Amino acid sequence: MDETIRSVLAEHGGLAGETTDLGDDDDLYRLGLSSHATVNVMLALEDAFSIEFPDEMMRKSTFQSVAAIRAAVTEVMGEQ
Amino acid sequence: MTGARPVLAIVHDDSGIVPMVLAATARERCDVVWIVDAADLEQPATVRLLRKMGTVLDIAGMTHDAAAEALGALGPGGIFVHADATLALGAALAGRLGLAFHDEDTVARLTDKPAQRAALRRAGLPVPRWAVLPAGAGAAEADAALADLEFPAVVKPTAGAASRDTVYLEGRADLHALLAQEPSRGGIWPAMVVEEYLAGAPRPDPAFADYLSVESVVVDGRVVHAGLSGRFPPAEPFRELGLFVPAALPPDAVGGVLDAAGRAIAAVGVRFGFCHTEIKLTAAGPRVIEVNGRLGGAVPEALGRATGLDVLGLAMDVALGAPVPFDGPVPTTRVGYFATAAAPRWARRVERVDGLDALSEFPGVESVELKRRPGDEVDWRQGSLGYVYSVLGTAPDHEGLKALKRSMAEDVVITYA
Repeated sequence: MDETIRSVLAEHGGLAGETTDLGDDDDLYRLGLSSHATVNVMLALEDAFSIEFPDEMMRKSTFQSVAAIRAAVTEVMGEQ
Repeated sequence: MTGARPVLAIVHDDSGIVPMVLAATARERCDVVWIVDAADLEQPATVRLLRKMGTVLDIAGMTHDAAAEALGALGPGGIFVHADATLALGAALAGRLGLAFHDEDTVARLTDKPAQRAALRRAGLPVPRWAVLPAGAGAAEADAALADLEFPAVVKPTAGAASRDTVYLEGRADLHALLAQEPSRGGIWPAMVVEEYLAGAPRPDPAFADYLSVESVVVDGRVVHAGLSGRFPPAEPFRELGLFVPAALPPDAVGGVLDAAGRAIAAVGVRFGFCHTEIKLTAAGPRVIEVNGRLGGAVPEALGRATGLDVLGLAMDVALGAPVPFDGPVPTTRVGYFATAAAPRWARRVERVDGLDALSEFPGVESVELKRRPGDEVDWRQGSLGYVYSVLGTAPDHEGLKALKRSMAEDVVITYA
Protein backbone atom coordinates (compact mmCIF):
# COMPACT_ATOMS: atom_id res chain seq x y z
CA MET A 1 0.00 0.00 0.00
CA ASP A 2 2.78 2.41 0.94
CA GLU A 3 4.45 1.95 -2.43
CA THR A 4 1.21 2.82 -4.24
CA ILE A 5 0.58 5.84 -2.02
CA ARG A 6 4.08 7.15 -2.64
CA SER A 7 3.73 6.48 -6.35
CA VAL A 8 0.48 8.49 -6.42
CA LEU A 9 2.14 11.30 -4.49
CA ALA A 10 5.11 11.26 -6.85
CA GLU A 11 2.86 11.49 -9.90
CA HIS A 12 0.20 13.88 -8.64
CA GLY A 13 1.48 15.57 -5.47
CA GLY A 14 3.94 18.00 -7.00
CA LEU A 15 6.02 17.79 -3.83
CA ALA A 16 9.43 19.22 -3.21
CA GLY A 17 11.92 16.35 -3.15
CA GLU A 18 11.64 12.60 -3.75
CA THR A 19 8.66 10.76 -2.30
CA THR A 20 10.93 7.82 -1.40
CA ASP A 21 12.53 10.13 1.17
CA LEU A 22 9.21 11.04 2.77
CA GLY A 23 8.75 10.24 6.42
CA ASP A 24 5.44 8.68 7.39
CA ASP A 25 4.39 11.78 9.28
CA ASP A 26 5.98 14.46 7.14
CA ASP A 27 3.49 17.26 6.52
CA LEU A 28 2.75 17.09 2.81
CA TYR A 29 1.36 20.64 2.75
CA ARG A 30 4.64 21.89 4.18
CA LEU A 31 6.33 20.12 1.27
CA GLY A 32 4.23 21.90 -1.31
CA LEU A 33 1.04 19.82 -1.72
CA SER A 34 -1.41 22.37 -3.11
CA SER A 35 -5.20 22.35 -2.96
CA HIS A 36 -5.39 21.42 -6.62
CA ALA A 37 -2.84 18.66 -6.18
CA THR A 38 -4.78 17.32 -3.18
CA VAL A 39 -7.78 16.76 -5.44
CA ASN A 40 -5.66 14.93 -7.97
CA VAL A 41 -4.04 12.81 -5.26
CA MET A 42 -7.41 11.93 -3.79
CA LEU A 43 -8.87 10.90 -7.15
CA ALA A 44 -5.75 8.94 -8.09
CA LEU A 45 -5.88 7.08 -4.77
CA GLU A 46 -9.51 6.16 -5.47
CA ASP A 47 -8.54 4.79 -8.85
CA ALA A 48 -5.45 3.00 -7.58
CA PHE A 49 -7.24 1.25 -4.72
CA SER A 50 -10.70 0.98 -6.36
CA ILE A 51 -12.27 2.82 -3.45
CA GLU A 52 -14.39 5.89 -2.95
CA PHE A 53 -13.62 8.30 -0.14
CA PRO A 54 -16.86 9.19 1.66
CA ASP A 55 -18.00 12.78 1.99
CA GLU A 56 -16.81 13.07 5.60
CA MET A 57 -13.23 12.26 4.57
CA MET A 58 -13.18 15.18 2.15
CA ARG A 59 -10.93 17.31 4.32
CA LYS A 60 -7.36 18.46 4.06
CA SER A 61 -6.21 16.49 7.10
CA THR A 62 -7.08 13.22 5.35
CA PHE A 63 -4.23 13.88 2.92
CA GLN A 64 -1.78 15.59 5.26
CA SER A 65 0.78 12.79 5.48
CA VAL A 66 1.55 9.32 4.17
CA ALA A 67 0.38 7.93 7.52
CA ALA A 68 -2.91 9.85 7.35
CA ILE A 69 -3.52 8.67 3.79
CA ARG A 70 -2.72 5.07 4.74
CA ALA A 71 -5.15 5.24 7.65
CA ALA A 72 -7.88 6.68 5.45
CA VAL A 73 -7.40 4.16 2.66
CA THR A 74 -7.33 1.30 5.16
CA GLU A 75 -10.54 2.51 6.77
CA VAL A 76 -12.35 2.88 3.46
CA MET A 77 -11.15 -0.51 2.20
CA GLY A 78 -12.43 -2.07 5.38
CA GLU A 79 -15.84 -0.56 4.87
CA GLN A 80 -16.29 -1.26 1.17
CA MET B 1 -38.64 12.98 5.81
CA THR B 2 -36.42 14.21 3.04
CA GLY B 3 -36.05 17.82 2.01
CA ALA B 4 -35.82 19.09 5.58
CA ARG B 5 -32.29 20.35 5.09
CA PRO B 6 -31.97 23.70 3.36
CA VAL B 7 -30.18 23.80 0.03
CA LEU B 8 -27.37 26.28 -0.50
CA ALA B 9 -26.15 27.08 -4.00
CA ILE B 10 -22.39 27.64 -3.94
CA VAL B 11 -20.84 29.18 -7.02
CA HIS B 12 -17.54 27.39 -7.51
CA ASP B 13 -14.47 29.43 -8.36
CA ASP B 14 -10.98 27.97 -8.67
CA SER B 15 -9.53 31.15 -7.16
CA GLY B 16 -11.79 31.16 -4.12
CA ILE B 17 -12.21 29.06 -0.99
CA VAL B 18 -11.19 25.42 -1.39
CA PRO B 19 -14.26 23.18 -2.03
CA MET B 20 -13.27 20.71 0.70
CA VAL B 21 -13.33 23.53 3.25
CA LEU B 22 -16.69 24.78 2.01
CA ALA B 23 -18.15 21.27 2.06
CA ALA B 24 -16.91 20.61 5.58
CA THR B 25 -18.67 23.77 6.79
CA ALA B 26 -21.86 23.09 4.83
CA ARG B 27 -22.09 19.48 5.94
CA GLU B 28 -23.68 20.20 9.31
CA ARG B 29 -26.15 22.81 8.08
CA CYS B 30 -27.32 22.25 4.49
CA ASP B 31 -27.14 20.35 1.25
CA VAL B 32 -25.06 21.94 -1.47
CA VAL B 33 -25.64 22.58 -5.15
CA TRP B 34 -22.30 23.42 -6.74
CA ILE B 35 -22.69 25.78 -9.66
CA VAL B 36 -19.86 25.14 -12.07
CA ASP B 37 -18.96 26.20 -15.54
CA ALA B 38 -17.04 23.06 -16.45
CA ALA B 39 -15.69 24.72 -19.59
CA ASP B 40 -13.90 27.29 -17.42
CA LEU B 41 -12.33 25.03 -14.82
CA GLU B 42 -8.57 25.11 -14.38
CA GLN B 43 -8.77 21.52 -13.24
CA PRO B 44 -11.49 19.34 -14.86
CA ALA B 45 -11.20 16.75 -12.06
CA THR B 46 -12.85 19.31 -9.77
CA VAL B 47 -16.27 18.21 -11.03
CA ARG B 48 -15.64 14.67 -9.84
CA LEU B 49 -14.65 16.02 -6.43
CA LEU B 50 -17.70 18.28 -6.18
CA ARG B 51 -20.05 15.43 -7.09
CA LYS B 52 -18.87 13.63 -3.96
CA MET B 53 -19.88 16.61 -1.86
CA GLY B 54 -23.24 17.60 -3.29
CA THR B 55 -25.18 18.11 -6.50
CA VAL B 56 -23.29 19.62 -9.42
CA LEU B 57 -25.05 21.99 -11.79
CA ASP B 58 -22.86 22.52 -14.82
CA ILE B 59 -23.97 25.72 -16.49
CA ALA B 60 -21.46 25.62 -19.36
CA GLY B 61 -23.06 27.15 -22.43
CA MET B 62 -26.26 28.13 -20.59
CA THR B 63 -27.81 31.58 -20.59
CA HIS B 64 -28.45 33.10 -17.17
CA ASP B 65 -32.16 32.43 -17.67
CA ALA B 66 -31.54 28.75 -18.40
CA ALA B 67 -29.08 28.41 -15.54
CA ALA B 68 -31.51 30.06 -13.13
CA GLU B 69 -34.30 27.75 -14.25
CA ALA B 70 -32.10 24.70 -13.75
CA LEU B 71 -30.97 25.94 -10.34
CA GLY B 72 -34.50 26.87 -9.30
CA ALA B 73 -35.60 23.28 -9.90
CA LEU B 74 -33.13 22.21 -7.21
CA GLY B 75 -34.81 24.41 -4.59
CA PRO B 76 -32.01 26.58 -3.23
CA GLY B 77 -32.79 28.63 -0.14
CA GLY B 78 -29.69 30.78 -0.56
CA ILE B 79 -26.65 31.43 -2.69
CA PHE B 80 -23.03 31.81 -1.60
CA VAL B 81 -20.27 33.36 -3.69
CA HIS B 82 -16.69 33.63 -2.46
CA ALA B 83 -14.73 35.18 -5.32
CA ASP B 84 -14.96 38.46 -7.22
CA ALA B 85 -14.99 36.75 -10.59
CA THR B 86 -18.30 34.98 -9.89
CA LEU B 87 -20.18 37.79 -8.11
CA ALA B 88 -21.91 38.77 -11.35
CA LEU B 89 -23.05 35.22 -12.00
CA GLY B 90 -24.31 34.94 -8.43
CA ALA B 91 -26.24 38.19 -8.79
CA ALA B 92 -27.76 37.12 -12.10
CA LEU B 93 -28.99 33.84 -10.65
CA ALA B 94 -30.09 35.30 -7.32
CA GLY B 95 -32.04 38.09 -9.03
CA ARG B 96 -33.94 35.63 -11.19
CA LEU B 97 -34.73 33.31 -8.26
CA GLY B 98 -35.49 35.93 -5.60
CA LEU B 99 -32.54 34.89 -3.43
CA ALA B 100 -30.91 37.40 -1.09
CA PHE B 101 -27.68 38.59 -2.69
CA HIS B 102 -26.11 41.62 -4.33
CA ASP B 103 -28.10 42.90 -7.31
CA GLU B 104 -26.32 43.20 -10.65
CA ASP B 105 -25.83 46.97 -10.42
CA THR B 106 -24.20 46.59 -7.02
CA VAL B 107 -21.86 43.91 -8.36
CA ALA B 108 -20.81 46.33 -11.10
CA ARG B 109 -19.84 48.84 -8.41
CA LEU B 110 -18.09 46.15 -6.37
CA THR B 111 -15.95 44.80 -9.20
CA ASP B 112 -15.19 47.88 -11.29
CA LYS B 113 -12.85 50.18 -9.40
CA PRO B 114 -13.72 53.42 -11.24
CA ALA B 115 -17.45 52.75 -10.81
CA GLN B 116 -16.92 52.15 -7.11
CA ARG B 117 -14.85 55.27 -6.62
CA ALA B 118 -17.55 57.30 -8.37
CA ALA B 119 -20.20 55.84 -6.05
CA LEU B 120 -18.09 56.65 -2.99
CA ARG B 121 -17.55 60.20 -4.18
CA ARG B 122 -21.27 60.70 -4.90
CA ALA B 123 -21.96 59.65 -1.32
CA GLY B 124 -19.58 62.30 -0.04
CA LEU B 125 -16.70 60.04 0.97
CA PRO B 126 -13.22 61.46 0.34
CA VAL B 127 -11.68 59.63 -2.60
CA PRO B 128 -8.34 60.33 -4.28
CA ARG B 129 -8.53 61.61 -7.84
CA TRP B 130 -8.27 58.93 -10.48
CA ALA B 131 -8.20 58.39 -14.23
CA VAL B 132 -8.83 55.34 -16.37
CA LEU B 133 -6.39 54.00 -18.95
CA PRO B 134 -8.11 52.04 -21.70
CA ALA B 135 -6.85 48.52 -22.46
CA GLY B 136 -3.67 48.52 -24.50
CA ALA B 137 -2.95 52.22 -23.86
CA GLY B 138 0.44 53.51 -24.91
CA ALA B 139 2.51 56.28 -23.33
CA ALA B 140 0.91 59.11 -25.31
CA GLU B 141 -2.61 57.93 -24.53
CA ALA B 142 -1.65 57.54 -20.87
CA ASP B 143 -0.27 61.06 -20.69
CA ALA B 144 -3.49 62.46 -22.14
CA ALA B 145 -5.66 60.45 -19.74
CA LEU B 146 -3.60 61.48 -16.72
CA ALA B 147 -3.22 65.14 -17.58
CA ASP B 148 -5.08 66.28 -14.45
CA LEU B 149 -3.55 63.76 -12.06
CA GLU B 150 -0.79 64.44 -9.58
CA PHE B 151 1.95 61.99 -8.69
CA PRO B 152 2.89 59.86 -6.84
CA ALA B 153 0.10 57.55 -7.92
CA VAL B 154 -0.88 53.90 -7.96
CA VAL B 155 -1.88 51.97 -11.06
CA LYS B 156 -3.91 48.76 -10.96
CA PRO B 157 -6.26 46.85 -13.28
CA THR B 158 -9.83 48.18 -13.09
CA ALA B 159 -11.09 44.69 -12.29
CA GLY B 160 -8.10 43.29 -10.46
CA ALA B 161 -7.68 41.64 -7.08
CA ALA B 162 -4.90 40.64 -4.68
CA SER B 163 -2.63 43.48 -5.85
CA ARG B 164 -1.86 41.73 -9.14
CA ASP B 165 -0.08 44.13 -11.50
CA THR B 166 -0.42 46.93 -8.94
CA VAL B 167 2.46 49.39 -9.06
CA TYR B 168 3.53 52.59 -7.30
CA LEU B 169 4.32 55.41 -9.72
CA GLU B 170 6.65 58.18 -8.64
CA GLY B 171 6.01 60.01 -11.88
CA ARG B 172 4.87 59.61 -15.48
CA ALA B 173 8.16 58.02 -16.49
CA ASP B 174 7.38 55.05 -14.21
CA LEU B 175 4.09 54.55 -16.00
CA HIS B 176 5.74 54.72 -19.41
CA ALA B 177 8.27 52.12 -18.29
CA LEU B 178 5.50 49.88 -17.00
CA LEU B 179 3.46 50.09 -20.18
CA ALA B 180 6.56 49.14 -22.18
CA GLN B 181 6.62 45.81 -20.32
CA GLU B 182 4.27 42.87 -20.62
CA PRO B 183 1.60 42.33 -17.92
CA SER B 184 1.90 39.26 -15.68
CA ARG B 185 -0.67 37.31 -17.66
CA GLY B 186 0.86 38.26 -21.01
CA GLY B 187 -0.91 40.00 -23.88
CA ILE B 188 -1.80 43.67 -23.68
CA TRP B 189 -2.37 45.65 -20.49
CA PRO B 190 -6.02 45.50 -19.43
CA ALA B 191 -7.97 48.67 -18.65
CA MET B 192 -6.37 50.21 -15.59
CA VAL B 193 -7.16 52.84 -13.04
CA VAL B 194 -4.49 55.29 -11.93
CA GLU B 195 -5.20 57.09 -8.69
CA GLU B 196 -3.29 59.58 -6.62
CA TYR B 197 -1.36 57.88 -3.86
CA LEU B 198 -2.79 58.20 -0.36
CA ALA B 199 0.01 58.77 2.10
CA GLY B 200 -0.46 56.92 5.37
CA ALA B 201 -0.30 58.52 8.79
CA PRO B 202 2.87 57.87 10.81
CA ARG B 203 2.63 54.36 12.19
CA PRO B 204 2.73 53.94 15.96
CA ASP B 205 4.32 50.51 15.47
CA PRO B 206 6.40 49.92 12.33
CA ALA B 207 5.66 46.19 12.57
CA PHE B 208 2.14 46.90 11.33
CA ALA B 209 0.86 48.64 8.22
CA ASP B 210 -1.03 51.91 7.92
CA TYR B 211 -4.08 50.21 6.49
CA LEU B 212 -6.53 47.54 7.62
CA SER B 213 -9.86 46.04 6.66
CA VAL B 214 -13.27 45.87 8.25
CA GLU B 215 -15.16 42.59 7.97
CA SER B 216 -18.90 43.21 7.89
CA VAL B 217 -22.14 41.29 7.45
CA VAL B 218 -25.05 42.98 5.72
CA VAL B 219 -28.65 41.81 5.96
CA ASP B 220 -31.47 43.85 4.41
CA GLY B 221 -29.15 46.83 4.25
CA ARG B 222 -28.24 46.68 7.96
CA VAL B 223 -24.48 46.60 8.33
CA VAL B 224 -22.98 44.71 11.28
CA HIS B 225 -19.21 44.82 11.65
CA ALA B 226 -17.72 41.51 12.76
CA GLY B 227 -14.12 42.58 13.20
CA LEU B 228 -11.08 44.54 12.06
CA SER B 229 -8.17 42.85 10.31
CA GLY B 230 -4.72 44.36 10.57
CA ARG B 231 -1.96 44.11 8.01
CA PHE B 232 1.78 43.72 7.97
CA PRO B 233 3.79 46.26 5.99
CA PRO B 234 3.47 45.00 2.41
CA ALA B 235 6.28 43.68 0.25
CA GLU B 236 7.28 45.98 -2.55
CA PRO B 237 5.31 47.36 -4.32
CA PHE B 238 1.93 46.47 -2.77
CA ARG B 239 2.02 42.74 -2.05
CA GLU B 240 0.12 41.93 1.10
CA LEU B 241 1.76 39.51 3.51
CA GLY B 242 -1.37 38.11 5.10
CA LEU B 243 -3.56 39.57 7.82
CA PHE B 244 -4.38 39.29 11.49
CA VAL B 245 -7.30 39.90 13.81
CA PRO B 246 -7.69 42.10 15.78
CA ALA B 247 -5.99 45.02 14.04
CA ALA B 248 -3.45 46.86 16.18
CA LEU B 249 -5.57 49.99 16.32
CA PRO B 250 -5.92 52.40 19.26
CA PRO B 251 -9.42 51.99 20.77
CA ASP B 252 -10.29 55.62 20.09
CA ALA B 253 -9.66 55.13 16.38
CA VAL B 254 -12.04 52.19 15.95
CA GLY B 255 -15.25 54.21 15.72
CA GLY B 256 -14.05 56.36 12.83
CA VAL B 257 -12.86 53.33 10.89
CA LEU B 258 -16.13 51.44 11.36
CA ASP B 259 -18.10 54.53 10.40
CA ALA B 260 -16.11 54.92 7.18
CA ALA B 261 -16.65 51.25 6.32
CA GLY B 262 -20.37 51.47 6.98
CA ARG B 263 -20.76 54.59 4.85
CA ALA B 264 -18.77 53.01 2.02
CA ILE B 265 -20.82 49.81 2.07
CA ALA B 266 -24.03 51.85 1.90
CA ALA B 267 -22.61 54.04 -0.87
CA VAL B 268 -21.83 51.00 -3.01
CA GLY B 269 -25.37 49.75 -2.41
CA VAL B 270 -24.67 46.45 -0.67
CA ARG B 271 -27.76 45.01 1.00
CA PHE B 272 -26.81 41.37 1.61
CA GLY B 273 -23.75 39.32 2.32
CA PHE B 274 -20.24 39.77 3.64
CA CYS B 275 -18.06 42.78 2.87
CA HIS B 276 -14.32 43.20 3.23
CA THR B 277 -13.60 46.94 3.23
CA GLU B 278 -9.99 48.11 3.06
CA ILE B 279 -9.22 51.38 4.80
CA LYS B 280 -6.08 53.47 4.91
CA LEU B 281 -5.23 55.43 8.03
CA THR B 282 -4.15 58.90 6.90
CA ALA B 283 -3.31 62.08 8.77
CA ALA B 284 -6.71 63.41 7.65
CA GLY B 285 -8.56 60.37 9.00
CA PRO B 286 -9.59 56.95 7.67
CA ARG B 287 -9.91 56.75 3.88
CA VAL B 288 -11.67 53.92 2.06
CA ILE B 289 -9.41 52.09 -0.38
CA GLU B 290 -11.93 49.56 -1.59
CA VAL B 291 -15.12 47.67 -0.71
CA ASN B 292 -15.14 43.99 -1.64
CA GLY B 293 -18.51 42.24 -1.72
CA ARG B 294 -17.35 38.93 -0.31
CA LEU B 295 -15.39 37.41 2.52
CA GLY B 296 -11.79 38.55 2.46
CA GLY B 297 -9.13 35.96 1.76
CA ALA B 298 -7.96 34.30 5.01
CA VAL B 299 -10.51 36.30 7.01
CA PRO B 300 -12.44 33.19 8.11
CA GLU B 301 -9.21 31.70 9.41
CA ALA B 302 -7.89 34.77 11.23
CA LEU B 303 -11.18 36.18 12.52
CA GLY B 304 -12.34 32.74 13.52
CA ARG B 305 -9.20 32.03 15.51
CA ALA B 306 -9.31 35.39 17.26
CA THR B 307 -12.98 35.24 18.24
CA GLY B 308 -14.08 31.61 18.16
CA LEU B 309 -16.63 32.57 15.52
CA ASP B 310 -17.30 30.07 12.73
CA VAL B 311 -17.07 32.77 10.07
CA LEU B 312 -17.70 30.59 7.06
CA GLY B 313 -20.59 28.91 8.83
CA LEU B 314 -22.03 32.32 9.66
CA ALA B 315 -21.72 33.40 6.04
CA MET B 316 -23.60 30.30 4.92
CA ASP B 317 -26.26 30.70 7.62
CA VAL B 318 -26.82 34.34 6.64
CA ALA B 319 -27.06 33.34 2.99
CA LEU B 320 -29.79 30.92 4.02
CA GLY B 321 -31.72 33.64 5.85
CA ALA B 322 -30.46 33.42 9.43
CA PRO B 323 -30.05 36.64 11.43
CA VAL B 324 -26.62 37.94 12.43
CA PRO B 325 -26.05 36.77 16.03
CA PHE B 326 -24.11 39.86 17.18
CA ASP B 327 -24.39 43.64 16.97
CA GLY B 328 -20.83 44.81 16.55
CA PRO B 329 -17.23 43.65 16.51
CA VAL B 330 -17.01 40.22 18.10
CA PRO B 331 -14.73 40.27 21.18
CA THR B 332 -11.33 38.74 20.58
CA THR B 333 -9.44 36.59 23.06
CA ARG B 334 -6.18 36.31 21.11
CA VAL B 335 -4.64 37.23 17.77
CA GLY B 336 -5.50 35.01 14.80
CA TYR B 337 -3.20 35.32 11.83
CA PHE B 338 -2.43 34.16 8.32
CA ALA B 339 1.07 35.34 7.44
CA THR B 340 2.93 34.87 4.18
CA ALA B 341 6.46 35.36 2.87
CA ALA B 342 6.97 37.01 -0.51
CA ALA B 343 9.95 36.74 -2.82
CA PRO B 344 12.00 39.89 -3.39
CA ARG B 345 11.09 41.83 -6.49
CA TRP B 346 14.21 40.76 -8.36
CA ALA B 347 13.72 37.03 -7.77
CA ARG B 348 12.62 34.79 -10.62
CA ARG B 349 12.82 31.29 -9.13
CA VAL B 350 12.93 29.56 -5.74
CA GLU B 351 16.13 27.55 -5.28
CA ARG B 352 15.88 26.28 -1.69
CA VAL B 353 13.59 26.65 1.29
CA ASP B 354 15.01 25.78 4.71
CA GLY B 355 13.60 26.18 8.19
CA LEU B 356 9.89 25.53 7.74
CA ASP B 357 10.09 22.65 10.22
CA ALA B 358 11.58 24.98 12.84
CA LEU B 359 8.89 27.57 12.14
CA SER B 360 6.19 24.96 12.59
CA GLU B 361 7.44 24.46 16.16
CA PHE B 362 6.90 28.12 17.05
CA PRO B 363 4.23 28.44 19.77
CA GLY B 364 0.77 28.95 18.30
CA VAL B 365 1.64 27.88 14.75
CA GLU B 366 -1.00 25.48 13.47
CA SER B 367 0.17 24.92 9.91
CA VAL B 368 2.91 25.93 7.54
CA GLU B 369 2.26 25.45 3.84
CA LEU B 370 4.76 25.75 1.04
CA LYS B 371 3.26 27.27 -2.10
CA ARG B 372 6.34 27.82 -4.27
CA ARG B 373 8.65 24.80 -4.21
CA PRO B 374 12.31 24.74 -5.17
CA GLY B 375 12.39 25.16 -8.94
CA ASP B 376 9.07 27.05 -9.07
CA GLU B 377 9.00 30.47 -10.67
CA VAL B 378 8.14 33.59 -8.69
CA ASP B 379 6.97 36.89 -10.12
CA TRP B 380 6.17 39.96 -8.03
CA ARG B 381 3.54 40.97 -10.58
CA GLN B 382 1.34 38.10 -9.38
CA GLY B 383 0.64 40.25 -6.35
CA SER B 384 -0.31 39.01 -2.91
CA LEU B 385 -1.10 35.47 -4.08
CA GLY B 386 2.41 34.88 -5.40
CA TYR B 387 3.82 34.17 -1.93
CA VAL B 388 6.32 31.40 -1.18
CA TYR B 389 4.85 29.97 2.01
CA SER B 390 2.14 30.72 4.55
CA VAL B 391 1.71 30.28 8.28
CA LEU B 392 -1.62 29.96 10.06
CA GLY B 393 -1.99 30.21 13.80
CA THR B 394 -2.62 32.26 16.89
CA ALA B 395 -0.62 34.48 19.19
CA PRO B 396 -1.54 35.65 22.69
CA ASP B 397 -1.22 39.31 21.67
CA HIS B 398 0.39 41.61 19.10
CA GLU B 399 3.82 41.24 20.72
CA GLY B 400 3.49 37.50 20.20
CA LEU B 401 2.58 38.15 16.58
CA LYS B 402 5.71 40.25 16.14
CA ALA B 403 7.75 37.38 17.59
CA LEU B 404 6.21 35.07 14.98
CA LYS B 405 7.24 37.48 12.24
CA ARG B 406 10.79 37.53 13.65
CA SER B 407 10.85 33.74 13.52
CA MET B 408 9.71 33.84 9.89
CA ALA B 409 12.53 36.26 9.10
CA GLU B 410 15.25 34.50 11.09
CA ASP B 411 14.42 30.78 11.04
CA VAL B 412 13.33 30.39 7.44
CA VAL B 413 15.95 30.83 4.75
CA ILE B 414 14.82 31.00 1.14
CA THR B 415 17.34 31.06 -1.65
CA TYR B 416 16.29 32.59 -4.95
CA ALA B 417 17.71 32.81 -8.42
